[in-house]
Amino acid sequence: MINIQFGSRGQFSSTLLLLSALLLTLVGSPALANTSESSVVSSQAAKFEALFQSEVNNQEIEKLSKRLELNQHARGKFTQYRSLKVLKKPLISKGSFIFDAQLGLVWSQEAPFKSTLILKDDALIQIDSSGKQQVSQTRGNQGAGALAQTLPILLKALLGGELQTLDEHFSFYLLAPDSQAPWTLGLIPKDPLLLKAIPQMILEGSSQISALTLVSANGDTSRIEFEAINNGPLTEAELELVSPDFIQQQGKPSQATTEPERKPKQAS
Amino acid sequence: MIDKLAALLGQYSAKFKFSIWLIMMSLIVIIGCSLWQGGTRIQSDILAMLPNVQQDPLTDIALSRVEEQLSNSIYLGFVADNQAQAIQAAQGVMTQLNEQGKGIFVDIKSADINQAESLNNYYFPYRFSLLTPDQAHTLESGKLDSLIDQAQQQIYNAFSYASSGLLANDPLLLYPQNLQALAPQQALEVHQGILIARLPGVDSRERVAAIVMAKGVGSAFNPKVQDRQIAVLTQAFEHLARQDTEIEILRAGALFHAAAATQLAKSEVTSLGLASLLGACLLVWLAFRSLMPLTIALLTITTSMLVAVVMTSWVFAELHLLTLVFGTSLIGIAIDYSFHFYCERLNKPDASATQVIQHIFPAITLALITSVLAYSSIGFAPFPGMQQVAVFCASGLMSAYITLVLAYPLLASGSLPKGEQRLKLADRYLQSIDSLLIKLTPKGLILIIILCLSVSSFGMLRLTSDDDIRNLQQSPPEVQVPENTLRALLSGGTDNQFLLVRGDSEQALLQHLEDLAPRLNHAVNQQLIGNSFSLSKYLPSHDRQARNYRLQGEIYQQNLIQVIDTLGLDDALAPKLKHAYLAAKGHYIDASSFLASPAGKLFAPLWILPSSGQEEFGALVLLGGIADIDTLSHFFADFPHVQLVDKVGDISKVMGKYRQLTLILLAVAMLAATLIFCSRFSIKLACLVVAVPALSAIFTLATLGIMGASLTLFHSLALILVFGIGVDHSVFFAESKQESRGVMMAVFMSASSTILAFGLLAFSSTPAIHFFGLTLLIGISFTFMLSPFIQTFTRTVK
Repeated sequence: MINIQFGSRGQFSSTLLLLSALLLTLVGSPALANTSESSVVSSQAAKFEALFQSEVNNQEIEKLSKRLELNQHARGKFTQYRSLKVLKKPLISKGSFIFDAQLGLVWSQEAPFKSTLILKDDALIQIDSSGKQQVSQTRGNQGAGALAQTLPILLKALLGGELQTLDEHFSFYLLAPDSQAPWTLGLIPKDPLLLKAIPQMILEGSSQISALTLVSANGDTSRIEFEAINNGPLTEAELELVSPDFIQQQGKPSQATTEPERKPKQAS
Repeated sequence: MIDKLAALLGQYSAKFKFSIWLIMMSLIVIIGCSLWQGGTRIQSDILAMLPNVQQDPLTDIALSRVEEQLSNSIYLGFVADNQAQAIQAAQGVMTQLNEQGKGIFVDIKSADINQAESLNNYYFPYRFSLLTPDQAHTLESGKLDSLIDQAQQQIYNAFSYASSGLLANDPLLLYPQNLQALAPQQALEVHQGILIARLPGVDSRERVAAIVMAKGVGSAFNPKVQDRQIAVLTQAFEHLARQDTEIEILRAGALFHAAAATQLAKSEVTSLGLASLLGACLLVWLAFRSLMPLTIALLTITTSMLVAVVMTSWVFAELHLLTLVFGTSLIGIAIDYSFHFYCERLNKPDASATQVIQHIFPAITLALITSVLAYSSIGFAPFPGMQQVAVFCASGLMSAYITLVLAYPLLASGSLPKGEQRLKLADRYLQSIDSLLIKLTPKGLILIIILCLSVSSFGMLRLTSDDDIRNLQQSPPEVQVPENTLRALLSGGTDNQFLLVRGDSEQALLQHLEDLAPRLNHAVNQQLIGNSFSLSKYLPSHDRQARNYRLQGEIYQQNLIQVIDTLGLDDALAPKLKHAYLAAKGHYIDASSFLASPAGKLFAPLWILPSSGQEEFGALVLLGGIADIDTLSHFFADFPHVQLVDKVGDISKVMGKYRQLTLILLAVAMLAATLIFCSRFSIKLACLVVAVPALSAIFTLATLGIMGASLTLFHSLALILVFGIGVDHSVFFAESKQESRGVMMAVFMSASSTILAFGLLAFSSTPAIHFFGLTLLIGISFTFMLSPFIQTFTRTVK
């Protein structure tokens, strides 16, 4: 055949692009035998055992989303508790978030150090404490960013009631005793890679979302508690943060890097 | 000598000769049957048509590796309006292919999760020898703190990859970035294990394509394999269509091109062959108005086709489909002998078949010799396919000749209806040519010569050449368009040019690959290439690994306590980490273990080990989106161990070389023919006999030039046939001496049948065959017009 086919390379790279997603699966890798003893699921996870017995369908979730006071805008504060087995003590961080259904999401941690996540359309911008910035495409990025993107996408979908987005990514489990009491929603990722990394996610709330808990297989847990959620319109300053112009100023999204050695796109 | 031979043949009885013929044909049938049982196959690989380019052994191995990769893979895209639909379709087809396609397709996959996992399994133990350039730079410049800082931020991020498991083994989280560097990012997503690409639909609505890949077992160019693979795919697609009618399926891969080519060739063999046969039969019927010549002609055609097929399969152990297409034209030539025989009988109604044969024996013998000569020169072309055509036509022609000489005396002895009318027609045509020449004043003659000269030199000057083999094979748009769409989606395309890097040892080669990496990046930045793929990042040299290990001592030997304290990690990790670091000393990633691992086996084709016949190590660097091949070859010229392999370009060069060589061979063949003819005719006549095909060839080239065609090897190969057939015509006229009306009729019929056969080839959609047919069409028309002048010459001179 004289026609030039794309061939081996496309094949090589397409299998490779999954590589980084499996970083998340390290937990289960044979090199990490010492952590496998952690089949002792944390008490928190045990608490949710009953939840994951009751799978529900889309309609139930739709009902739930009606109970939620969804709005075009939201802002609020969060406190995150992260307990890793290898850490001497849990890590606690605090911060705030701004959400606009059209414009996107800004997630800023304020203590113990500043770092910011901005999700706008398909771009994810991460700004670390030293002001270093990393822009990536949510689409096409199967890198370590894939998991980092799950949070904002999930939150945006939840806050904006984008059920289809949620349904694409998760199976639902719901414990909602009656229509007034607080509810607990369990999410199990459909994607096998994501499933390995975060086997379970639990959302709690009543008329507002109050907490998100991530449970990993090795017993590490992360719990994010939300408070002071306010659905009022965004202020000028807030809008500026989520506006597309802001992102454009920050530099263009990183291009697909296929060459052997290329620095991650960084700007300061 | 020829006359003596004719006399010798005349001594034997018709029955004796016929029995010899029968024995020969039975022998052919027996050989044919045994070959058929031995599993002679029909080959449709276009590559088999292409010339063999001489390369060094390492390049040869590299080329065959690439060809194997390119020719066996297929890619399918399932396009739907939403993702769930596309994923479902892809999963359904994968299941179908796995169930129905056992042993026909292997490696059916979309996103390969296992491959990713096995890469992790392979590299994790070597993490102490791995650093990204950034990490290495940071450690080298003593900025350990910034690495600790970055790790800290990762640990605080609930959605990062910082987990207890990883931290216990890699507290600064350096390994993930290294693994990530092995995964080139591209515009494809993975959902539920399926590769997803997005493409714009109508009304700016996005459509989703789920991508599935598979490898065919066996060559996609083998029609049997092809049929099996296409059947399995069709079945899977039908199954899908029953469940979801809206899915659009994109296909890409050599299989689909090969299947289209086979389909085309098959239909052309049938349609062109049938048309050619019907035309020939019609001609015979019109000329002789008797069933007998028709039957005899059919017998001649059948036996010569049979002999041709058997002999070709015998010599080459396979038969190329294109040979058959070219071969259908044999019908047109093989029947020439019948025409001469019957025209001569028509001309001499009182002579017996044996006498007629004796009479035309010298002419057809000379004709056979020159035709076989012409075919042999085609056989000199370095194309296995063209060699087959040569053997096919030469043996078929010989069979027709033998049939005439041995079988006709008995079989064709029946009487013929009178054909005076048609002979008179031929005679009138000849006489009108004569009178035209007589009327021609010397001035007019000069004028005509000048006109011919200027027109042909004008045409010749306009003639360009085009040896690019890519122009010879064009798939129909219904194959090409979806392929291009899918190719664009997969973006990481590979051209079939690649870099071959060589080294005396594994480490030397890895070093060369590392040296090449920055240049490859540079090439991408300069947009000389779209992308490249080198094993370098998977196989760092021992030097680099040793440096990385040394640099990580900064973490594990000098500052481990500080790292653990700052991050708030459990103190018990320190001795374990230190121990693991020390234990990893001297453990290096090497090619053999990597390529043998589940992670590396996919890349094994890119690595070439020394073997008998060649002592070097070699590695292939694949290139995609090459902008300009010449610029690129200069770009890498200063790397002594790097070679740009461009088979398409090399073959094209060889094509060009042989195009010229063929034209030279043509001249040589003409010279040889002149010498042969000198033994029988006067030098003047011999020259004239050769001048007819020679002039035809020149006029044909001029006509092609005026038509704006670019000369290819196939044009020049066809010119050789023009010579072969043209010489036949002129020899018949030269032999006929005074009584040329029978010859005129035979030449007319021969030319019409040849034009019929080859003119039909000109309608082929395969460019090579089209060029071949077109050249013959023009060339034979010229010989037909020119050859009667020989008779004028013999009449006026003698």
